[in-house]
Amino acid sequence: MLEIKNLHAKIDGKEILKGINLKIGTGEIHAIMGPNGSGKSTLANVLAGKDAYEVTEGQVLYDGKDLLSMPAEDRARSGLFLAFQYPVEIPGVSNMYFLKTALNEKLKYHGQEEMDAADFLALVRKKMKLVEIEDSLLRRPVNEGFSGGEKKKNEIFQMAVLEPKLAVLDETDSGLDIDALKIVANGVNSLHNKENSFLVITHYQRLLDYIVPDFVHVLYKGEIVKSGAKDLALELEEKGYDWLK
Amino acid sequence: MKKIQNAVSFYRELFRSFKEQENGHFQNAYSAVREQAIQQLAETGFPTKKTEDWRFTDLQELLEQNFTLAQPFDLNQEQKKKIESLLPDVPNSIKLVFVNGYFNKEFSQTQHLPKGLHLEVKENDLSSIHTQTESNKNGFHLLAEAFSRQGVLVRVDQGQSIEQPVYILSVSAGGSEPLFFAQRNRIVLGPLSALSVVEQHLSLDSQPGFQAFQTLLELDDSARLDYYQFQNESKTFYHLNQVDATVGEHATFRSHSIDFGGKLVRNTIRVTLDGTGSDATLNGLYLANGTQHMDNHTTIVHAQAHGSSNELFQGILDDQANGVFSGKILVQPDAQKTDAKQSNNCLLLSEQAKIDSKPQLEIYADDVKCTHGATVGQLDEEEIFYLRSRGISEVAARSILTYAFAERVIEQIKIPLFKDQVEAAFNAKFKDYLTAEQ
Repeated sequence: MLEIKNLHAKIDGKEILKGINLKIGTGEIHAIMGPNGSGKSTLANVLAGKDAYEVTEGQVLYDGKDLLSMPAEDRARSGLFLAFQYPVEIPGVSNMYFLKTALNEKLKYHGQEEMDAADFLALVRKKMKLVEIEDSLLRRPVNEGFSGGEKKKNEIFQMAVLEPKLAVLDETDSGLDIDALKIVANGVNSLHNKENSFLVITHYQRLLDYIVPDFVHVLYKGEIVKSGAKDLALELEEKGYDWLK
Repeated sequence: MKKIQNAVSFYRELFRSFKEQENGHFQNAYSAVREQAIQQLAETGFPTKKTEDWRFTDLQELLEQNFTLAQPFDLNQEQKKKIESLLPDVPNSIKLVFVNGYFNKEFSQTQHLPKGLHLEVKENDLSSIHTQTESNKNGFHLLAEAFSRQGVLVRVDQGQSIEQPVYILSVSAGGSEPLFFAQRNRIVLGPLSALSVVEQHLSLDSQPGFQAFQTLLELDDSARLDYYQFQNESKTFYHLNQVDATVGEHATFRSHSIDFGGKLVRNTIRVTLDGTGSDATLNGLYLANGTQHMDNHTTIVHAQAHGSSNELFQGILDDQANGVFSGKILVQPDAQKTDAKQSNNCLLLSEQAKIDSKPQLEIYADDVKCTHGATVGQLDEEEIFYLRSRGISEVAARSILTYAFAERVIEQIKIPLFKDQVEAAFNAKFKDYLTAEQ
């Protein structure tokens, strides 16, 4: 599904990623853990295609395609999804309109017929239950006036509607109380199947109690310094990151 | 100064031919007002860049130009079709159509009026439209007083709520010679009455010209007026517009000024909240590109207690376009418990576009709530990326965000047919921007 080879990236002239190697197979859930400033969000943003980051070296293959040469919108249309750590508010654009446009862009890209209003509404109703998001939030402008938890739920809701092949969750657990965390994790688990993969980026082990990863990687100062099975997360929780230095 | 003196002589001369043309029709109660206005123009002249209220709007080109007085004009089939397409396609809708400042009977519909609504098109004698006793009139105000041939007087009787909107359409059409025309209208709402007025200023072709337009609005106690001004004239048109509204006790005034067209546009809107608990909403949307200049000057006078006002102006400027927003809120000593909000936001789509924004609060009462805010900037790159990260192209993302910016004003239009029309005009103009970007 995804293969990252010797990825180097910088922002504002400062090198953040210093040679990342990572392979994610179809149907797998990977977790990346690491302390603040280790490059977790940079990795997520580089994968999603944010222009501010400059890739100086390396390659990313997504479904065999050169991901880094694709514009952000084409990455999304071909099934890559980033759940943002800090989703922006977009006043004046309703959630429903936004999501319908996004979904239809994706369908168009794959040569499929666009969805009409009625079918879209039916799909939304189905997916809403998955993340327990209220109808009233969907009628409002994208994220405007949403609480932190509502914004994160909305990210997972968008993910549920767009049904990505590879979802990158950038600290989706940060700022969530335990109930919201469970809802988000349930959403992810019910969407997960043999055909799609997840890259869960987190600072804490807590989320991994609910979303059980196949592999855990430790990102430290821009490099993956350790990889292992899910037990590695518990070890990190116990010992912190200092022993890796 | 010399140019302005020249301009004054030009309009004095023009006034002489105006009188000759009408061949004695002006011997009526209003004649003195016209004469006086021209006299006063000779004394005060036109504003200059040194006049505080006109600092940001350069009138030189306008004042140097020679205009011809508009004449009655016969529309050809194509022009007639165009006018029809601009009017609401609803049987018996109330319409008043003016072509180059002349009332057009063919397209107007003033019969079968709902009970309590009175419409009169006044000709030559505009005494019943003229009530203004304001002292510091500017040159354009005076031109409207002197040169208006016709004007509409709209009255709504006490307690009558008129559901159908009144459409006033002013179109320009013709040739290439720059035309000048003026119009004055007056709308009077009795106590507890309600009305919506949609006033449109449109061009059928690229006819250049200069229109001085002036409207008096009077809302008696507990009246409600929804007043829409939509200007989409050709880019060779000078549009000088003035609105003076007086709002009575517990009356509600909602005004929407939407400008997409014109070469130089100036809206001077003055609202006086003259009764306790009266409420005013002043919305504006302007979309300018090329070298268009759009200037909105608003003044809200809170004269009595418990009044509220809410002002929102959204501007979108591209290319070398210029925008001006000056919003004054004056709270007089008696206007305790005033609640006034003002917001002016401007989106600059190019580096050469420019906005001058000047909020002014003058508060002489101590127990009031007044806020104002202004933002100037580009589209938010984070927002664009968010949309792109969901599969929406950059061009579509920019379009969605710009539209959302305009939508804050458009969504407040309560007449669906008219709202569709504004949306279509916005999209038509905005499409040029998007295709130019690609």
